[in-house]
Amino acid sequence: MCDVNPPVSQGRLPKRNNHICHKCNVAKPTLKSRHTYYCQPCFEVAFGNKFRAQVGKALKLSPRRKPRVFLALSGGTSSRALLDLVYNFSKLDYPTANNQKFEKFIVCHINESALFPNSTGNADILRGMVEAYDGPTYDEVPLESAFHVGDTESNDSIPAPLLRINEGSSYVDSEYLFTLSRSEESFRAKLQALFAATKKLTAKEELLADLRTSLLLQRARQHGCELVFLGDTCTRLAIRVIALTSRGRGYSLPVELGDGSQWFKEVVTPPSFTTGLPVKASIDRLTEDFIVGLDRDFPSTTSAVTRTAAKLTPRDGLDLRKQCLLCLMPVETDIPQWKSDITVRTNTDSQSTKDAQGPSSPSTLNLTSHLCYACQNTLSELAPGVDLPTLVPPTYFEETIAGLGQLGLTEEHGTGGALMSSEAMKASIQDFLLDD
Amino acid sequence: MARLCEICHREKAVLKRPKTLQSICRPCFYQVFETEIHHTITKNRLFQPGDRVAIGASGGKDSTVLAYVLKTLNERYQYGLHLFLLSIDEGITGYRDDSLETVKRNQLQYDLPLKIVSYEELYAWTMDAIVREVGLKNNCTFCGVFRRQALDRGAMLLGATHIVTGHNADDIAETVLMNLLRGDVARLQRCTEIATPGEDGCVPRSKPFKYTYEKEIVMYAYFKKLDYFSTECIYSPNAYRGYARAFLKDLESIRPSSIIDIIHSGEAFQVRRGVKMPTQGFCSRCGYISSNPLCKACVLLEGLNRGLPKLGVSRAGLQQLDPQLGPAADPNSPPTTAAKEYPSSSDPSAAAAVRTGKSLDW
Repeated sequence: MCDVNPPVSQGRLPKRNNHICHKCNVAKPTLKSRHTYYCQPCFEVAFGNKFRAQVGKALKLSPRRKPRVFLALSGGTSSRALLDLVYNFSKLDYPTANNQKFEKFIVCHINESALFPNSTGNADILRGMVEAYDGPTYDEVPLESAFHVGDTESNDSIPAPLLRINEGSSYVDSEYLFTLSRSEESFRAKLQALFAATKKLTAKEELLADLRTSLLLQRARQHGCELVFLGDTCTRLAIRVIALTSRGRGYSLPVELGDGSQWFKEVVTPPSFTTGLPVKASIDRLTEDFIVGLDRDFPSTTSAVTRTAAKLTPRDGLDLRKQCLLCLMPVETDIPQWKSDITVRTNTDSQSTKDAQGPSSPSTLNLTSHLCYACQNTLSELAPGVDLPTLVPPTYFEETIAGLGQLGLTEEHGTGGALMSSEAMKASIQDFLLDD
Repeated sequence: MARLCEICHREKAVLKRPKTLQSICRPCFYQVFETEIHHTITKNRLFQPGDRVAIGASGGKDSTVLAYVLKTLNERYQYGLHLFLLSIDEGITGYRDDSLETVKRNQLQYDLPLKIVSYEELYAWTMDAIVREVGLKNNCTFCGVFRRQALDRGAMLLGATHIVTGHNADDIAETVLMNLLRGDVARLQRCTEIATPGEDGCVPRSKPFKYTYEKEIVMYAYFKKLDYFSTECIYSPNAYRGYARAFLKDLESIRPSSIIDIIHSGEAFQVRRGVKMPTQGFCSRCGYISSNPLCKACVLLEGLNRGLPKLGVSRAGLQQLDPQLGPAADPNSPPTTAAKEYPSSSDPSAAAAVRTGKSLDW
């Protein structure tokens, strides 16, 4: 959008003088956006106005209703521009520092230096950047605190319950077995071990996205913010629509991207697993290349994709109270049934091989029905033995495990495992449970 | 040491299944491949005993394997189906005439009756003639729209109660992506359905290969040494679809389950209430189902016959449609009134052929 001579044809638009800014009709243009040539000052004003109009309409603010606002800042172009736009918006009718449009304005940066050592300096740069504005409060949170439960700054923060993937877990049989794990390693080491457990970049990206989403959400809740700003652009959203579809996430797509939903969106940070790597490194990277390339030849692609996605809704019958333990998204029932209906893996003669497996250990948790379809795919690309943090709220996790204990004896897949009673189950996870 | 089959643990494994990543032997591959299709057919109750099933046969790998597998399954599980091969001759010299030779060989090899319907009989236009008229740019639109109807007409003439097509999982995943990219919500919701309900005078249609990977179909044809025709159509493939196809192939190489994952996504898509959707009616000219007063095939045919080949292809082309025919672009006007207002086509012979099939000699 910042190219003065883009390859896109102008279509049926009237021919206009391309040597002068179309807004002020005086200055020399520096950029072209959506068939219009702008000089820099005019572009800034026009862009700001457009943002203000859209946000103002969506938020319905009034002097009496001052929201607490949370902005996720990766430091990339989109979220950096968003910070400036939201700041200018907040100052619009309130030019002095102590009288603000927002009751609270938190700018949160997730420090991912545990995974990307090259980005270690970013946090300090961003802190300076945010502090240069008067008003927003800078909040930095390390990615590894996704392994905490509760307030990360206070001393009473508790490690999140860890799920260790068992050897017997298998994508083909669509059976995901775990044991609760208590590792004494540092959070940072656990995080690094988790990402070292797979070579597949698609799986890494999915895990990272899950961790970010849950952290931002947790953080925004801790600050009591009811509004979360994320730097997703139309292009980025279109890429996400196609990437989520390609990973089998059609069921959660409407809640992930729908702007009216109670759910959430995520941001994209400059250092990523696929920066500088070939196109086929991961699904996200490939989709990015695909959409950006297509949009160059067919300029309506991104808006068509995002508009289409906005018309979708979660399927009837999808239980929106049930959350995936990993990504917090809705879980469909009957995934193993769906898979087994379309795939035959055995012939009738050797059907017995599966039943011949030894009984699973008493502490084994079969969490297949609490993991969504796409997370099951991701897990199939992780090595057994790795510890995963549960990202759902601890009370939800406790209920899930307790529910599993009651159902355990009538386990639907007939693994023959003697599953523990709910009391025994509760005893084994006692250390992780929070007092009400 | 050679690897043993992961299913029977006896034979030597000769292939790795793209769908499950299992290394398996040839007999086990045939077994799982055929059984999956059998499951798809029985779980979705695609057929009733006694059904007369027309297999859309192009001579390509998908339809050849479909004909072979359906015949095998029909005998093995006693579906009680009467199977036919139904081919459409689009009139593309150097492509369809060759592939039809394959279909004719299949007819003998599988001992199935064959019917060929041609665009020329139905519409009085061959694709060669259409391309001479419209050029290479939008010719796929004509071919696709005409083929859909031609299959239905052919099936009715055969007295078929069901049509099966060789669309495989890759095709369906690609269509999901295409409909997302084009912003076609109505089709996005429909395109993952395995069968169309054959109401309103249409023959029900289904895709038994909905969950079958293209790669496995090729493997099956290769190992069974099935005789099929593999050449791209000489009238260049649709460019936009080409992007989606290339993207899908890349996705598959990153994560082989992507194809099934996309279908899984597609099945979950549901359009929000309140989104305007086209309403299904009937074409006032030929009576075929259509969401407009005139069906797409009639609009395209009208354009061809009047020397306005852009008609029905581009928005600008639709404006060339004179005011009398204008409501073709308006989805809301009821088809019944349209029938009174718009008398029959300027080329009565073609339209009559479409309507009654009289000029067809079988």
